Amino acid sequence: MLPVRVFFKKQGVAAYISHLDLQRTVFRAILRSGIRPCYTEGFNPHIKLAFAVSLSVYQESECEIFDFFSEDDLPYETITEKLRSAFPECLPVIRAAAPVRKASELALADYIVDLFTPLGADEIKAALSGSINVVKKSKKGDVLTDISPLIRSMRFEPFESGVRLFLRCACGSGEHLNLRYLTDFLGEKITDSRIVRTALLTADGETLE
Amino acid sequence: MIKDEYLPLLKKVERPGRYTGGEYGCTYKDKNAVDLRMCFCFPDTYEIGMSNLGVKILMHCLNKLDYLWCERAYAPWDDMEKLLRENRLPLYALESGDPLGEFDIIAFTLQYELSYTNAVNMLDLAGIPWYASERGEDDPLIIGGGPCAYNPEPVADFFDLFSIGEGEEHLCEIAALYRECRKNGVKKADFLRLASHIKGTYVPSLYDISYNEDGTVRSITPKYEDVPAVVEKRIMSDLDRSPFPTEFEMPYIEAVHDRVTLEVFRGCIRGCRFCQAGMVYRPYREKSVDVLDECARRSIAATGYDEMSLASLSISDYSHIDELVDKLLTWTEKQKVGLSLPSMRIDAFYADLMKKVMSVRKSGLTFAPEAGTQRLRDVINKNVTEEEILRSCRMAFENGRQNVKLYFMNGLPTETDEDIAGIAKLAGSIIGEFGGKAVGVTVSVSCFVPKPFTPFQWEPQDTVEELQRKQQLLRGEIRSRKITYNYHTAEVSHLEGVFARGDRRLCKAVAEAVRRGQRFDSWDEFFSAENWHDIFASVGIDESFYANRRRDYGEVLPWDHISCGVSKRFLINESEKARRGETTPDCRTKCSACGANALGGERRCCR
Repeated sequence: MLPVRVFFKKQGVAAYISHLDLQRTVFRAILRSGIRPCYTEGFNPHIKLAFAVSLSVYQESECEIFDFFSEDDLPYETITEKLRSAFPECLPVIRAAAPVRKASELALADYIVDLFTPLGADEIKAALSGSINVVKKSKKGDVLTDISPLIRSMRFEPFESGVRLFLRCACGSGEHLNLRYLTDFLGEKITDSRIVRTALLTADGETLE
Repeated sequence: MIKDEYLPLLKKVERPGRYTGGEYGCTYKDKNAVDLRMCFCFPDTYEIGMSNLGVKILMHCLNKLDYLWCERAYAPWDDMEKLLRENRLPLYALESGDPLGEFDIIAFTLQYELSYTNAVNMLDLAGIPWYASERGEDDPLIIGGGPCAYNPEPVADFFDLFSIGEGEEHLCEIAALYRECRKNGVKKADFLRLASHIKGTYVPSLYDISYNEDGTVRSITPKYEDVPAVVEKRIMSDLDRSPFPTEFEMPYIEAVHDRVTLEVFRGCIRGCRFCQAGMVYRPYREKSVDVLDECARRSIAATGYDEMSLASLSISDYSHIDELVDKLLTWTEKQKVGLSLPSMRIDAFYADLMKKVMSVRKSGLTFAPEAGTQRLRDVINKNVTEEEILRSCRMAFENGRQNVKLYFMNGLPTETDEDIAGIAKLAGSIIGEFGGKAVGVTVSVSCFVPKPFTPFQWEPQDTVEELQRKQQLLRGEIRSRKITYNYHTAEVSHLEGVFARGDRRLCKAVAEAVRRGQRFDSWDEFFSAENWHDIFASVGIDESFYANRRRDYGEVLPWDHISCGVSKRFLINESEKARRGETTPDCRTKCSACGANALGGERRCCR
């Protein structure tokens, strides 16, 4: 039983599929690759596989991660090759390797968010300074929450269609910020947005390897 | 893949994964390096269309031609349709993202009557003129096929030609001829005339239809001597040598049937008298166990699916079913691939087979007694007995199932209230027999729709009021809480009834419906009986003339110029036997001389 961590991108049309769809797609791609994955024991066996963190629909990523186990002791290069050929074009596999840190150590993520807007960087910056109160839906009903504490750093740059944001924020099973809340908060100020996750990091700022 | 200018729309629609393209397994070619570009259109949602094995097989055949690139398109849901129209963006094919209007050939598969409005609407969304007569030399050639093409008259005006029967070879022959004609500057009308000489081609514009004063068809006559008076359907004579896809487009979002579908045989040996599929897919032809095993292995490897369904009309009739299942199980269990065998006949259903296929994953069990009494089951030639039904249910419950689903129809010819009550009685006796356990029975009742090329093609369909009365009658007869009762909307079946046996005059109703915004008529969200009554009234169509009228055997039927291989004499004979309550044995027990054997075929039961 070989632990395998797979690094892959979610780009292009893959932005339009949900996390559940992504999971199903990944399961099938593994089975197509010819690698024999380990299954859960039990009445309805399924592949033992865990994503480091989910990514919402309409969001892209340069650095997604899932872990699974191979029945066979194959070299990681072989696994990488097999997976590459079985994944769809918009979910390219970067590499497969032995996990270094635990996926649960994930605490931060970097993003580039392109905000399509007639406003300048200063105006967007002003809008996002101070508390950012958004309505989060929960089982107990809608709750007004300030998401600004989840943002660790934020940098603004103009680009041809608006403002580009470089963000580092909480990510993982503890504190987590879905950037959809940020773009929803901006509402009418922007006409569209493109969210790309660029790195998954541990609490000490190291890339999750 | 979808083009950039469409991307902003995707954030505003439900399930954007329907519209992106870019699935694993798509076929891409250089559009400048092919002579013909074709798009296969499924006039319903992506999720339904992606489940269709027929489309996959035909696209595989067509894309094997190096001079042709065949892509896919589906009917957009109304949210997407609205956005496309608002932004003046045409409907596009999923592989190249190019608008359908740029294609040379557009092929629609017509799986059910209630998708007709979607097909015409898709032409509209592509900016292609609806009527064949209005399309010019530069517009795409519009082809129709699939089960509804056996009576294509209600949509005949919209299509340049129909492919009758199995299309694997026929579509390739049509494509080859079209390519040749285009190279030589042959006009579309002349191409169509030449195409009509290819067996299985029906070109509606090459036939004159005349009507009697009472509204019935007087005659269907070819306009030219070289155009066949009767279009005979095509079949693949050897299924073992029939093309089978090696690559499959894998949907990102969940398809309705999200699994490998293994087609085991075509046709059906049973001859249930209400069943169009059982007649039009004759002769019965099987694939061999080795070929099926090979197809199954290849499909699982190419898709990564962990579920496989053995699909055919009545799967337990496969002459080597045990051997096939055993062979598949030698590797499917190891690979954690679940097998499902839908459409099992009750009589052939036995514990061993069920236990075998249950070993990986459990799936639901459904039986179709179709009618509540033995008398009516004899009329429709559904040769199962109450004993067999009870025995099958016992096996299901004893093997750990808690629920079985039973399919019935109401509105069958000669049906009485006693037959309706019989449905409740049958479900009740299943509960009674196994009442000690926590078991449930789901009774699902659809409304009978008489279809062309069946022994019941002359029968009147029950009126909506009568169907609804019977539905309520059955509700009153069901006493046990362990019985769940579902039934279909009678108005929907009525609309299906109008179109199933319709003639060419219904084209104007389809057009008017599309104009008024009717789409997705098989979806509760969109179906409107009221709208449809208005539509028919506005174009002067009497619905009951098509749905509720008894035809006599001598009447010229709107589909008399199409042949599915089964003779009218056989259908009349079966219709007479139905009236006498006599059954006909299955094709394997005794040949009933339906005539389909003349079409040939390997590994079939008729000689």
